[in-house]
Amino acid sequence: MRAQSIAAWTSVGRDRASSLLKPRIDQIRRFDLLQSLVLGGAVLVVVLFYVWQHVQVVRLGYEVEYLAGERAAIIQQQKELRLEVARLMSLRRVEEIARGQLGLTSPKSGQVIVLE
Amino acid sequence: MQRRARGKSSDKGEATPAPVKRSLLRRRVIILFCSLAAALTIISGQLFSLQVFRYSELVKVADGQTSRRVPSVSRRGTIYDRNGRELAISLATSSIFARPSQIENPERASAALSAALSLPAEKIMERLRAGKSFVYIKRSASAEEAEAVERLMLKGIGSDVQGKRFYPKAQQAAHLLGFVGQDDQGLEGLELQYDTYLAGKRQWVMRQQDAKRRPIFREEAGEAQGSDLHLTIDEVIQYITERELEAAVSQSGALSGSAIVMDPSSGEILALANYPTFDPNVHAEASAFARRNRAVADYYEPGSAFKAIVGAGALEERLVRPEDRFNGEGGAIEVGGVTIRDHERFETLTFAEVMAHSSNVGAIKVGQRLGKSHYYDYISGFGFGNLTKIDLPGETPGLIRRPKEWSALSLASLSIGQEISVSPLQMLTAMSAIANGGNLVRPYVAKSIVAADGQVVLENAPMQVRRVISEDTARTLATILKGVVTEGTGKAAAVEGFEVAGKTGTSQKVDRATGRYSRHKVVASFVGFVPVEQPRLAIIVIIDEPTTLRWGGSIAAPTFREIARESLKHLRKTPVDREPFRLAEGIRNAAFRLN
Repeated sequence: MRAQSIAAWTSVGRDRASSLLKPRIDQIRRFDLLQSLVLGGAVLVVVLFYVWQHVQVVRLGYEVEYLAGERAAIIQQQKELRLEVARLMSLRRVEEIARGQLGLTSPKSGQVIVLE
Repeated sequence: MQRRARGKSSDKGEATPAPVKRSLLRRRVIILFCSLAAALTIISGQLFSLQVFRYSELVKVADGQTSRRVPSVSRRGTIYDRNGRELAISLATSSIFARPSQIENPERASAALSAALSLPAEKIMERLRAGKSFVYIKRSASAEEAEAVERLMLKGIGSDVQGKRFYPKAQQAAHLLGFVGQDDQGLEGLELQYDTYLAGKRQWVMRQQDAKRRPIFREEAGEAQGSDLHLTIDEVIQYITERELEAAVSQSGALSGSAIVMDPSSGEILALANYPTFDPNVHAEASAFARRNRAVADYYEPGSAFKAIVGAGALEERLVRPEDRFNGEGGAIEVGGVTIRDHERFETLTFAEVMAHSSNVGAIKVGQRLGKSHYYDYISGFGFGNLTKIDLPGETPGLIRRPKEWSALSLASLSIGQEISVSPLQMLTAMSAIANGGNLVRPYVAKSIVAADGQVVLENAPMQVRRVISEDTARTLATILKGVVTEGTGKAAAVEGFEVAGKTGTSQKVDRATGRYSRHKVVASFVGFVPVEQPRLAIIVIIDEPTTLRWGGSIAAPTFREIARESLKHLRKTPVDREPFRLAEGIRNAAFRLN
């Protein structure tokens, strides 16, 4: 009987203790869950950042190459234009146009005045 | 029906008891865990194998697929004249090449290339089957064509970017500039002389690319561009010289001609021309004769123009004075059993008149006064028989024998410019020494070399080789040579408004068939400087084998005049008889801004 009463008392105590501890355990569990979620989220963010970074680097790589190509093309175009200007400024060509098309002649020595 | 019945019974909770259920669940969990563990083990094993055992092999495969070694564009430096005008420019062009052994289907490859490059497929096939390990399919291809070939992604076909040289002024300064070969290497002229500076350094860079061969990253390449070359040449004077030389050669029906314009004080070459000439853009089409820089690489007997040298020696040694009189011997003198005649009969001439009228008899007598040894010293002193060390390839030192090898006739012959061969450049350098007060200067063409980053790599400055004659002698000789133009054989060289000094020369050429002096083949020349006081230009004109106007005074002297007159105009030199027009400050500033 005594043993039974002790068991009953202990069971009541356990239930009582359990009911008292439950909110605390739940709180701890929630905290653990939250912690896990935060940690998982952080890992996910880091992974996503890493992937995004790589994607960005590749994208920028394409962009840099594209711009480098454009720059090279513009430099090439500039050189071609300089070549064309030099060709057009050939004194032989200029003299042919001056004499043939425009009817110009070389000035006589008396017609030249040196400016100082 | 059975299923339904089972379902019903299950709903009623009659089927599986709880312990059995738990056991089933546990078994399933274990199976799942084992499956996952097995899968993970296989994956890990595979990963380990790929990452550890096959690491090197796979890295190579990946690199081969994603990385490509491409050449950086190496461009030759630009060549500019003294005023910064471009004479030679390089542009990047692509070359399409093939490694026939790597091509799997040559027929398909040539058909695809034919469409991309607008070339006949048969021609491409011919090249692919030439039995070579490397062939060029097309050189100087456009960027679009190169891109089209890249897109084809044909194994064994590639493109390579190279610089291609262009000479925008075509023939202008062709002999100075020279030209480059197929692989952009200097072959002649300044292109060869300064090839190490002009040529860009070819570099290879690693380029990462995607599956479509689009570039993603590229390593930073170092500077591949060659240095720029800035010349002492004045494009306008060069043009004037070429134009007048061409006119003289055509007018006289000559074989060829050469002309050089130099600043006598510094040795800077302002113009150097030969005719016939060539277009360095298509140099392969020109003959070797047309390509030869005869003003530097060839020699000729200077004839009477060399009398200036014997005169300089005699004056310096104080063996003659300008007013000393010489017997003209009626126009002929016998030396060593040979009679040497004048072009006209002279009775008595002063030393100045000997020079002015180019008397052979008088010059021989001056030479005899100077003597073998002294004369040879002056010949060597003026640089004959040695290289001027101009920065151009292929220079000749000329031909001069030592006095111990001279015959009884040699002193007389040398006094009138025979038995010696000089280059036009040597003759001009000697005349420049007389013009500048007695200093022999080193002629040069390259003023400076500037690297792509703006750093001056090399700078040529005027260099005095030695003093040959005193200033007094140089001044006296200049006055005597002025007489050549005012009253002697070189009257046609006179430039209105400027004092000109110089010497004509008409030398017979040796006939190769007979080994004797030819009666018909001559070299007509004029070498001089202008203005006599503070000379700005020293000019030599050589006309080889003229058929109509055969005298130096009748063909070379007028050419000298035209070059000098136009060049002085270009250099804004005021004639002595005219005052320069002084502009008001404001107008002058505006005028020079317009220039």
